[in-house]
Amino acid sequence: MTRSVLPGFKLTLGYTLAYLAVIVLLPLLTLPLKAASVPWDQLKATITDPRVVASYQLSVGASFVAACVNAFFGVIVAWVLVRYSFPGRRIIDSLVDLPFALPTAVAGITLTTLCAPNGWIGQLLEPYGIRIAFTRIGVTIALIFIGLPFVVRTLQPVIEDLDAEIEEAATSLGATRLKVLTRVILPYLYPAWLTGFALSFARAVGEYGSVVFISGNMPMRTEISPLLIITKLEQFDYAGATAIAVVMLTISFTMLLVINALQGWTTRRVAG
Amino acid sequence: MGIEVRHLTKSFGSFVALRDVSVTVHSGELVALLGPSGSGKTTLLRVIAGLETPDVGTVLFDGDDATRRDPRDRGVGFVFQHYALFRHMSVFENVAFGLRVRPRDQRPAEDDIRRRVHELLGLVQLDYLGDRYPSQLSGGQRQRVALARALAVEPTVLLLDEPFGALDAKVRQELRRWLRRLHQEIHLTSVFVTHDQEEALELANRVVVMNEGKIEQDAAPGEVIERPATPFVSNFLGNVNLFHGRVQVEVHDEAGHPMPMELDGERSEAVRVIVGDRVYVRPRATGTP
Amino acid sequence: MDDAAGGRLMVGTRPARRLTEPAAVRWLLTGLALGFLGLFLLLPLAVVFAEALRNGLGAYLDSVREPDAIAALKLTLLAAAFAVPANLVFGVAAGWAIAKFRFPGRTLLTTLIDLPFAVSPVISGMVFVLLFGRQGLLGPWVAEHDMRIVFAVPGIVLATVFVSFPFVAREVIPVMEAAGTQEEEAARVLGASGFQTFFRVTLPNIKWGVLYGAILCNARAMGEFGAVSVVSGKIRGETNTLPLHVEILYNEYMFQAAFAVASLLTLLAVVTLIVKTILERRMHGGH
Repeated sequence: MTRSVLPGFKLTLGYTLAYLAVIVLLPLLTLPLKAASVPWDQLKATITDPRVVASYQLSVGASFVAACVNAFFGVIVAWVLVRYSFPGRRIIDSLVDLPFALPTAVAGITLTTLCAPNGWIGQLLEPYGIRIAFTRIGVTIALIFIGLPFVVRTLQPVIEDLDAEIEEAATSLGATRLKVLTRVILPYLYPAWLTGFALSFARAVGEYGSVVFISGNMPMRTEISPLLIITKLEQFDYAGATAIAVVMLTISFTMLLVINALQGWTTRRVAG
Repeated sequence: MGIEVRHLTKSFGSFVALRDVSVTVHSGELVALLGPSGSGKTTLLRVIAGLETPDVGTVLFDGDDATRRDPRDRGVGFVFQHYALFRHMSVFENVAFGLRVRPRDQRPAEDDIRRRVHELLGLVQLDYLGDRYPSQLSGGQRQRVALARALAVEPTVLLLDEPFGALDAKVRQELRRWLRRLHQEIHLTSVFVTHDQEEALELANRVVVMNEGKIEQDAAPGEVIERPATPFVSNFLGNVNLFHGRVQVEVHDEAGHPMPMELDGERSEAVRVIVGDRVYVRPRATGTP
Repeated sequence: MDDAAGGRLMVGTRPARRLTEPAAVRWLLTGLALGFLGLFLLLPLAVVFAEALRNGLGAYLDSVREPDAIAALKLTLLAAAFAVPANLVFGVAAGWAIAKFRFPGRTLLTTLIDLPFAVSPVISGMVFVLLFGRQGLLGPWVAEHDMRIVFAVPGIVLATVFVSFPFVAREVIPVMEAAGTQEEEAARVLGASGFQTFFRVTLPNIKWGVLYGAILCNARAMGEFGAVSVVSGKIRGETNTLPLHVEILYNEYMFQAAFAVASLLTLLAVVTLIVKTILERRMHGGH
C-alpha cells in the first residue's frame, strides 16, 4: 500500500467503515446470530413447512417468470428507445425508471385496482373468466412492473455502443437483416441481457410492497415469503421469521454474486 | 535551489520503479530525465516533488533532508503531463489558485494577486484568455496555463512531466524553444521528464539517461552522444549526428571595410545539428563602425 | 440494391446513416414496446390520479389535508431529512476513500456498500426488530435507558437510513474515479490544505453526481414501505409514514383517500424522474 499524497485517507476510510459497520453490518449480523441460537431442528421444521415452501416457490417462480417477460420486452424496448426516433421518445425514456422511483405501496394498490374484477383491465378480462387480482398471475404482473427498468437500463448503454461497422460488414457479406440481428447483434448483447435478467429477478424475489396487495395472501396459493416473515413477526415467532429470512438472504446473496460475475463478463466482452 | 537524491529505491507492489538512484541537480540547471516508458523517470520526478515517498533513500533540497516533507512545503512547481488544470475554474482562477490558498497571513492582497496573474499570463502570452475555461483552449495553450500556474507561487524548483508529450510536432517545437528562452531568463532550477531524445538534447544542460529504474548515464548532451557509457545509451540515442564547427561570416560596412563580429548565442564554439533540423545563423553587428 | 429477405443495403449516392430494419418490422417493434410500456407505466399513472380525483377536487384536497395524512407526511419528511444528509456525507467520504486511494479490500468494501440493495425490504426492517426489539440483542439495554426504538420514530428513521444507504455512494464513486487524482495532486503541490483541495477542486467536479445520488436516496427514503412496515407500530398519527398511511386507508376500503395520498407520492416520483433526467444530461453532457 502506497502512502498517497492526498490527505484524509484515514479519516474518510475510518468514517466509512464505522458508518458501514453500525448501519449495515451490525443489524445484518443479528440474523445469523439469532439463527445460531435456535436449535437446528426447529429451523429445519420452519424452513421445510409446506406453507413456507409454497411461499418460496411462489416468490422464486413468479420472479423467474416476471424476469423472463421483462427480458423479452426489455430488449425490444431498449432497442426501440436507442435506435428509433419518434415523438415523445425522451419522455418515455425517462418514464422507464418509474417503477424505480415509485413507492412500492403505491404500485401495489394501483396494480390491484387495475386488475381487480371491476378495474380497467380486470373488467376486460372478466367475461373470459380470466382473473388476475388475488391470483398468481397478479403476483407475476406486479413483479413484471417492479423489474421493468432493469433489463432496459442494462441493455441501453450496450446497444448505444454497438459499432455500426460491424453491422455494415455483416450486411456487405450478404447477411439479411434478420441474420445480422440474431447472429451478430444479439450474441453481443447476451452478457448485458443476462445481467439485466438477473437484476430483475433478484429485485423481484424480495419484493413486498407491490405484491402484497394484489396477491390476496392466501396460504399455500398466493403467499409470498416476505409476507410469511411479517406474519411470524406479528406472532412473535422470531425464530421462524429468522429461519425464512436466512433462506431468502441466501438466495439474494447468491444472486448478488452471480450478478457481479455477469457484470464482470459484460465488461470483458465489451472491452475485448 | 540545488537538489540531491541519494540511493532512492521505490517499488509499487512487485514492480520496482527505482533502483538505488542517485542524482544531483545544481542550482539553475536544466536537467532532462530521458528514457523509455517504465524507466522510472516519472517516478523519480514525483519523488522529488513529494507526490511519492521512496522506500529507501533521501531527497535533499540545498542540503536539507526533505524526504518526508509534504509537497506543499517543498517550494516546487509541478507541471503535469496532461496539465491537470482545474476544469471548472477559468484560466485566471487556475493561475491564481496557488496564491489564493495561502494561509491568511501569507496571502497577498487581491490587487497583488491580480497583477501577478496578469504578469504571468503575459509571460506565457495568454493574457487575452483569462476568462476562458480549459475546455475552450488548445493543448498548447493549456500547457502554458499549467506552466503559469506552477510559476505563480514562485517555486525554487520547476518540475515538468513530459510537458510537451501530448502536443503535435509543430507546437512542441515552439514550446521547446520558448521553454529554453524562459529558463535563460529566470534561471530556475528545472528538471523535466521526456522520452524524446531530440527534446532532451536540445533543451538540457545535462541529460540523465534512465532505464529500468537505473541511471545509465548522467552527463552533458555532447558527452552522452559522443561517449555513451553503456550499450543501452548508444542504442537509445541513435540517429543523431554531431557536428563541430565554427561559423565564419564576413560583414562589410558601406565603405567596404570588414567589421568586427561576434557570434551571439549560447554556444559559439560548437553548433549542434540534429538530423532534419535547420540551423539559422544570424550575424549581429557589435560596436560602432 | 435490395436484399431479398427484407434487409436493405443502402449503396449509392446517399450515404447510409445507419443500417436498420425494414419499416414494417420497425413499426411492429415500436408498437410492441410502446404497448408494453403504456400498459405497465402509463396506465398505472393514470389510475392513481383518476382514482384520487374520483370524488372531485374538493374530496381530494380534504383527503390530503386530513390530520393523520399530514402527520404521516411529516414523519416521512423527517425520516428523509435524517437519511439523506447522513447517507450523503457517507457517500462522499466513501467516494473519497475508495476513488482516490488504493488499498487492500477496496473491492470488498464496494460490494459491502451494495448490501442493502440485495436485502429484501421486509428483512431490512426485521433486523432492527431483532436488534432493538424487546427480545432483541440490545433489547435489555434499550429498556434500561427507557428508550423506544422499534415501533417508534427512531426505528423508522434507522430502517430508512438502512434501505437508502447505498444510493449516494454508488453515484459518487464512479464520478470521483473518472475525475482522477491529478487535479487534487496539482492543488496540493500549489499549497492547498486538505479541506481547500476538497472544497475548491474535488467538490465542484462531483456536484452533479452528488445531487443525482441525493435525489435517488430521497426517493427511496420517502417511498420505503416494506422495511418501515415491519419496524413501525402503525399507530395512526404517530408512527405512520405516507406509504403506510396509504396501506391503512386502502385496507379500510377508503380508496379515494388512499389514492389521494398515493398521488402525493406519485408526484414525488415524477419530480424525481424529471430532476434525474436533467441531471443525467448535465453529468454526461457538460464538460
